[in-house]
Parts: sequence; C-alpha cells; structure tokens
Amino acid sequence: MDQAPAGRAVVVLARSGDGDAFESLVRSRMDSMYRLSLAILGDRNDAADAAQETFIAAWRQLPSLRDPDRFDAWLGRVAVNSCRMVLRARSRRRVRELPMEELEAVERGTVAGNPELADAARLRAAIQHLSLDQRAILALHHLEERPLGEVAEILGIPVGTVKSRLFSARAALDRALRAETDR
Amino acid sequence: MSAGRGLPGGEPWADPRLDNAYRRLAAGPAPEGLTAATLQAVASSRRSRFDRIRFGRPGPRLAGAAWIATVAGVAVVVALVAGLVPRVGPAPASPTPQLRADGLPVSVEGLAVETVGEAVTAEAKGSPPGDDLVAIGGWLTFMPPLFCPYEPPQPVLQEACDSDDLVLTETRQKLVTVTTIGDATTVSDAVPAGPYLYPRQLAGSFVDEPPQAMGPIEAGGIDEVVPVQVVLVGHFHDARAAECAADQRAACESTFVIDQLAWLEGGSQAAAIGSYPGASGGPFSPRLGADGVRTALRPSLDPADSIVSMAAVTNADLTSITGDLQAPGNGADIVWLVRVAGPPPRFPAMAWGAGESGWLIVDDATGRLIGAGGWGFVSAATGTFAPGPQPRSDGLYTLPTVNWLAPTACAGVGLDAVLHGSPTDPRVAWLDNELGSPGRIDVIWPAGYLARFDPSLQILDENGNVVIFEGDRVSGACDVLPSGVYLVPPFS
Repeated sequence: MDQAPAGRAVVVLARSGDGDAFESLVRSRMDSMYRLSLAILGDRNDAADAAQETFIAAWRQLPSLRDPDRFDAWLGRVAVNSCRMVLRARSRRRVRELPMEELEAVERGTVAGNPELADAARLRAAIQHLSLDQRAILALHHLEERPLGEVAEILGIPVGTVKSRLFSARAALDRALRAETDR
Repeated sequence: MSAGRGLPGGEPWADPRLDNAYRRLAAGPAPEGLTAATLQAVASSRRSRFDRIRFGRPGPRLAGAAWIATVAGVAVVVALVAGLVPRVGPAPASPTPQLRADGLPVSVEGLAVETVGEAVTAEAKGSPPGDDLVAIGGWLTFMPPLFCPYEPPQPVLQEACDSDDLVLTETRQKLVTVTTIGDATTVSDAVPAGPYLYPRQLAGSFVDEPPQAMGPIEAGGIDEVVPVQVVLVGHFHDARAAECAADQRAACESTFVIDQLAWLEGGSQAAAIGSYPGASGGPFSPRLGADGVRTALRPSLDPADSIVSMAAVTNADLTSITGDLQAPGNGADIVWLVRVAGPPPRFPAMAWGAGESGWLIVDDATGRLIGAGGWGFVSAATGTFAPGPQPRSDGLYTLPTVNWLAPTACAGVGLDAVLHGSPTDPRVAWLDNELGSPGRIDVIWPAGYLARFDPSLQILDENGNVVIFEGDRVSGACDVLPSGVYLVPPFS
C-alpha cells in the first residue's frame, strides 16, 4: 500500500458530513482505488467507473462505518463491491480496451520485441479467465500488498479461507498464463 | 513467468517478471478529471441515512460524544421537529387534546390514534388496499447505523441493511447505547420488546437536505438514545411497494410510511412541508410555497379537512409515489402532493369510497388542482387493484378507473376495436381488437366513470352522461398500462 492510513479525525469529520474532509479522502485515495479497480477489471474505463462508484458509495455509506480506524479496509471492501457491480453491468460487452502503450506497440509491431509489454499483454489476457473474487484476492495481496488479515476483513471471509482462495487464484492464474503462452 | 511460486504474505510476486507485468497492468494515476468528476458526483449524491434529516435549528453545543450523541439522542427531537417536519410559522394553536391513560392523545388530525400493537394487529389482519392515513402513537427511537456493505440501488421500500433507522415501540424502551472513548465510537442496540414497527421516511413526506457539520468530538462518554413519545400519521400499502421484488412485496406493502409527525411530547405539530428534487439534478424551485398551496386548495377542501403533509416533487416522481398515471404536464414540471385527513373534497366530485383520507395534486406553475386520489378509491393502475363486477344499489357497475386527473390531451395509441360488456365479467367492459394482434384488450376508464346494462352496455361519465355504447368502435387510447389501455373521450 502506498498511502498513509486515513487520519481518524478526518474520517470522523467526513462521516459527520464534512465535505472538505471527504474531499481530502477522495484526493488521497483516488489513485490507489483506481489501480485496485484496474487490477481487478483490466479495463481503464471500467476501472474509472468503479473508482468513482466507490467514492459515491463511500459517501453514502460512511455514516455506517462504526470504527474510523478501519476506514481503509472498509473502503477496499466498497471498491471490490463496486468492481463486482461494474463487471456485472459490463458482462455483455465484448470489446476489450487496450492500454494506449500496448495499442501503439501493436501498431508498431513491437509487442513481440518488447518482453515487458508482451508479459503485460499476456497477463492481462490471462486475468480475464479468472473470477472477480480471484482477481480481487490477487490484487489486494500482491498489488496492494495488504496482509492476509486485512484481505480477510475486506472480503468478509476468514483468514484461512483467504489462504486457500489465494492458493487457488494463483493456480488458476498459472494455468491461464500457460494457456496464453501456448497460443 | 509463473504464478505458482507466489509468496504467502502481503508482498510482491516472487517472480520479478510477473510482479513487473502485474504492476504495469495496474499502473498509472487515475485519469485526469476523474477526481473532479467524482467530487462533483458525490456533491450531488444523497446520503443513505443522515441526509434524510435536516438539522435546521442550531442546538446547544454538546460536550462529550458530541456528534453522534446529537444525532442519536437529540436528533430525534431536533430532526423531526426542525428538519424532517419543519414548521412553516408556529404550530397552530389547538385546544388541549384529550389524553389517554398512556399519555397519548385520543385523536390527531381527526384520526383516532392507535397503539403500535393495535396498528400491527390490524395490518396483519389485512387492512384494505390504498393508502388511507393511520395515526399511530408510541415511543420513537433513532437507531444509529451499523456497518452496511455497499448495495446496489434498491426499490425504496425494499428491506435493506440501512432501512431500520427509526423504530416505534409501544412502550418506552432505551434501545441504543453509544459509547465514545476519544475518537472511537461504538454503538450497541437491543431488540425491542413488545409490539414495534420500523416506520420509513420516503420522498413526499420529508425534507431532504444534507446535514450540517456536527462539530468535533471533544471527550468520551456513554449515552443512551432517549426515546420520545410521538404520534405519527402515515400509511401502509404505499404504491412504491409495487417496485419491490415479488418475494418482498408483502413486506413492502405492510411497511408504515410516515407522512407527518403529528404530535410530539405533548404538543401538536404542524403539517409536514417538504420538497424532493428527485434524481434529475435539474433546477428545482417551487413557486407556490405552503401558503400558495393552501390557497389553491381552499375551494376544493371540505371545511373539516386537515392538511397532513405537502411536498413539492417532479411530475415524473409523482407517478411512482402515487402509483398512478403521470398528472397532466411534463415530467419535469413541479407539482405538490398534498395529503389530507378528513371528508372527501368538494371538488372533484367523485364516487369516493369509505376512506377518511386522500391526496390532491396542485400544479406549481398554475396553482390548479390537477389530480386527486384516496378516500377509499383504488386506482386500476396500481398493483393492488382487484377487479370484480360490483353492482351498486342503483344498479350501476363500478369500472376500473384511474385516480382523478384534470382533462388533458393524450399522446394517443392507435386502436381499431369494438366495445363489449357483460355484467358477469370481472372488468365489466372490454375491447375486441381488430388491428394488429386481434383479441381482448382490458380497459381503464377515467375517474368517476360507471357502467349500466339497459339491456346492453352503456358507459357513463362522471356527470352521468352516456358517452359510449356496446358495439361502438374505438380508434384510439390515451395510454397503455400493464392492466389495460386507458381510454378517454373522444373514443373514435
């Protein structure tokens, strides 16, 4: 995680309806919520939608947060749920957006010659084969580097279940990566 | 690149290529403008709980568990008096009400006050459909919210995690304890004993403004939410129950929706005045105001009528609140929904039912009465309409009709059909269509329309004039509703 924990006073103020306090929370956490959403959804437009939904939902639901110290874990849970809703809404969409750098590399015919871009493209394709819960658990643990206990809190499951699901998600990603490599 | 050799802790992948690819996958800051757009969306977004309540009257600064104690303990009084049901001028002077042994008034707004147990029992026995007003007395407690995970938008009456923020109990009970130590606040609540219900506040009966900042938390303490003795006027069988999922429809139907805080701790309260801009976010500036609405309704109301609540809403939102057709005008037009307890209005003159309350709609732009319903009347446009031939004592038959709407031009739906009727048919009269898909089409008529068989079908308008006969051809309808086509004259 690349952000300092939210100050309790700021969260308490935002919870009581202070717009300035909530704005500071949005500004300090937008990038990380966007990246988490992007890791889960794999699409920049969807990630932007999910990040926005996350904060709208957070504003609406913040009065229900009993413990201000748990704001970041709570916000992560809201974000995963927002991703779930966006994915459900987009489930019929067939077109996948390529990031600009990948698009440019494809146009230049340089993906094959750029191992990093090739890896990213392969990983992106492989992740599409995972369930949202698998994507979320991988993103929270390996991208956000959240400890297992916090992942458990965010996903609302026991730590033991996090461990087993993490193992399954890594195995699923491994299989998907191998399938992408064999293409 | 492999995923199988990951690390057990919250750390990067063991495989640097995978780790690099993963970080590239989710790289970069949020798109430019996303934060600004989000803040704008948040600013126009309603909160699920506290924004229902306007803390319009600055109260004394509280030490201790300041904000939540204010919300939980005092807000019931402050909000319901000053915000949820704001006064327009001082409460009307009223004679000292006759009180019962439990301290509640015998009646408010002309409605007999029921205990919570009596109201729950009557509802469980099956009260008639429609949204007749009921007055229920008891002890009201504000329930501070517990953790609620994000949920997609639900029908407003459907049970949700954050639905139960008010509880009305028959006996005085302290249900909620708020403990504050430093900045940490914990809330515990108890299940009510004896009869209770969770009243709801919906559009049309409350003021929806964001809360004011409640001030910093200053010290620790333990507070109990103090219940207040109230009489709430409201209704069961709200039309918005039709939006609920099938398996929750019954629960939605039996939810008590507040229209007015009529009595609070010994004092009668004024009518609830509210405005509800709706989700459109467009400009919303009602012109009439409460006094203008009263003036507009004066010719229609019976002298014994009492205005319980009035709310400015968009015409489009009105359709979901009343469950009926859109009133004349555009969807964005502002209209006033006025709930009234007492005898049926003098105008419009309709064959109202046996109800003791109803609602009237006033166009904000013109001050004209454009709609009316209630007083025991059940619209054929609502989900609670149950058809059946009902010959009256004068030999006339009741037809399925909508609530009263001022005459309006119809967009029109093309038909080529013939009118038929039978005194044994549940809907009395129907159309046989000869255009497109031939077959029977059920019909919904304007308010006040009746049928007679002499010996064949005749349809009478609200003034008793025959407007169409058995076998007449109908070339157009005004609207198509789930329960039939809405016909208004001229029919061909």
